[in-house]
Amino acid sequence: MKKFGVQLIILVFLALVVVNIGIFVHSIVLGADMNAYELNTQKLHQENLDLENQMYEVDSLSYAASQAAKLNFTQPANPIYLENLKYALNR
Amino acid sequence: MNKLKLVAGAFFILFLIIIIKLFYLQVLSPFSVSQNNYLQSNIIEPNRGKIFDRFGSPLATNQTRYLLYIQPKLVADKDNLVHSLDSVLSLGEATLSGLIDMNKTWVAVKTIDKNTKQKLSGLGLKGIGFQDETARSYPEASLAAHLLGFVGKDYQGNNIGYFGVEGFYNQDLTGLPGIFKTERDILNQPILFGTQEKLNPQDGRNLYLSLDKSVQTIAKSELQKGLETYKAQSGCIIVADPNTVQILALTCLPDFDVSKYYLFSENFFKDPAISDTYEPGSIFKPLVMAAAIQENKISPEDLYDENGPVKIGNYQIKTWDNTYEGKITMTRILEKSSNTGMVYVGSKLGSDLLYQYLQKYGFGQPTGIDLQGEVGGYLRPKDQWYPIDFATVTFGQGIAVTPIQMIRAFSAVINGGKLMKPYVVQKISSGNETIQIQPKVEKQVISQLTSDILKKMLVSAVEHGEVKWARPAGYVIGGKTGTAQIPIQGHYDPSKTIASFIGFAPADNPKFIALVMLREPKTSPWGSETAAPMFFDIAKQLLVYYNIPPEQ
Repeated sequence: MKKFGVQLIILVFLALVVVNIGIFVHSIVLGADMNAYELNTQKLHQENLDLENQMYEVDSLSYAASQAAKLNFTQPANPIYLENLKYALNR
Repeated sequence: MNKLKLVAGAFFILFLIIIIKLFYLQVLSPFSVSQNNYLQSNIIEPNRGKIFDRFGSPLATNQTRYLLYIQPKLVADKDNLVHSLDSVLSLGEATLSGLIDMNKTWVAVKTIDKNTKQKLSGLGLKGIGFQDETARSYPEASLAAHLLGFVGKDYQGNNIGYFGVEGFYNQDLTGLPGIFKTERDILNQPILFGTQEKLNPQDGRNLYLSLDKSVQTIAKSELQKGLETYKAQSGCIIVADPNTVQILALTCLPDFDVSKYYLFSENFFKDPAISDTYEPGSIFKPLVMAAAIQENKISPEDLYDENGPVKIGNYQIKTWDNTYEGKITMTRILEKSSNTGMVYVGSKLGSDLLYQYLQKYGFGQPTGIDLQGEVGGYLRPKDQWYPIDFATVTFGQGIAVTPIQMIRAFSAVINGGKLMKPYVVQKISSGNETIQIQPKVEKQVISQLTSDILKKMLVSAVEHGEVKWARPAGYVIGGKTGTAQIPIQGHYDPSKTIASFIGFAPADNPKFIALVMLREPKTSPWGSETAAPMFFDIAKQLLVYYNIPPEQ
């Protein structure tokens, strides 16, 4: 009985050591994952900023002006207002 | 029993190895200095708030930039490094070589963009690194340089806004930093069961301006054209909504490149529209006329006998062209911009009331516009005024005002008499919270009736003025020209003027008011020949932009 008790204690001790080592290794792996996710998040944030800025640039008047100059759309608009619309009125 | 001792012995040796390694790492290793290297506290910088125009188009946003640095002690071949870097940066090999001091551990080189960083990373050079930074980005470049201001550094190296909106709203735009406490191992990996605490930063608030970037573009391009055509030294254009004095456009030239402000002298940063005073000249006349009509001292149909120069003490006041028409109405005084007529109006109003109205119009005090750098001008105490001062102020000389003060006071004359507080930011947003800035009435200067009378007189001033302008056909536009001599060392230089025009359209229900100012135009000193044509060019474009149909 005493011998069985000692063997049991040794087995439990060994099991605890193995589990402890397992948890320790797993925590290192998770730590590495956390690091990777942090770097990825930072990278995505920067990409997000870059894309946002590209979008703003394409939407800007200065870009429109440069494209207009390239396509030779440089004449100012001179609208002609219609007055005294007799025939368009339903009378 | 021997097996047991063997196992115990193996464990003992394992533990001994671990203890020795720990002793080495924590006591003997260069990393184990007095500070705790495991718990790192990093500040998380907040994103600076963005600035948009009234329709949500971005004027100032953020972008990531990279500070290229070199660790000279890790550089194996300095010459190769300099040559490789210069092939991408084009700074000059001598400059780069001078920067890389082999006695230093860290040297900053230059802030670069993403593309340059990728090119440098592709070279695989040892001893270089990149530090992330956030910098301002301006999608519309320097369209509204003075109005926006710029983001520079304070003496501690922190970002801080200077001038314009960036300076005035710096605290709102900056936000609050967060903090990240993390325990890290020797390989800088997070220790899972250690401290991992994060307090998120609060990003800066976004600002939505009253500025319309299309109107700003119209104003700036016309100002550039005007400076070239009339060979003026500098100029400003302000466009506002006269009912609220929301600023729709504000541009002064010369200005500066907001993204490279450090290449410009400080003299360019100051916004002349709010920071420089000038003698307004004849555009001041309607303000005095409105005051006299409001106080029932005159009516538009009253007659003044313009029969020659007026003598005040040792001074003689003449008309601008030294011609005199005899009996003229108050409206005709404005049409022909008669200085002697205005002296008569001022004398009817009286010096006490005249001074009171100068204060009522807000002169001598800052307007409170939300731009950094505003000055209030200076209104001397009444007991320091001489009779000649009361006479000359009626035609806008002898008083120093800022362009924004003129726009505000003139808006009061045409909007029913309300002196409004001018503003540039109409909305501040942060997450789900939005604060709308409402127009603020500071005081009632004149009545609606007086305002309507003045509008009619100003329309007449445009239609029957001394110069015939190329006005947009079918529209009723009111306004006033101004040509003010510039005081230099106590005397007026007749060859140097500030030519201006202030106008509004459509006259019965003004949608916009615009002040055009040119300093020292060389082709002609007169506002009627320089600033006025510029105003009408701007008005034509704005009438089309706002889809305002002709009234006549």
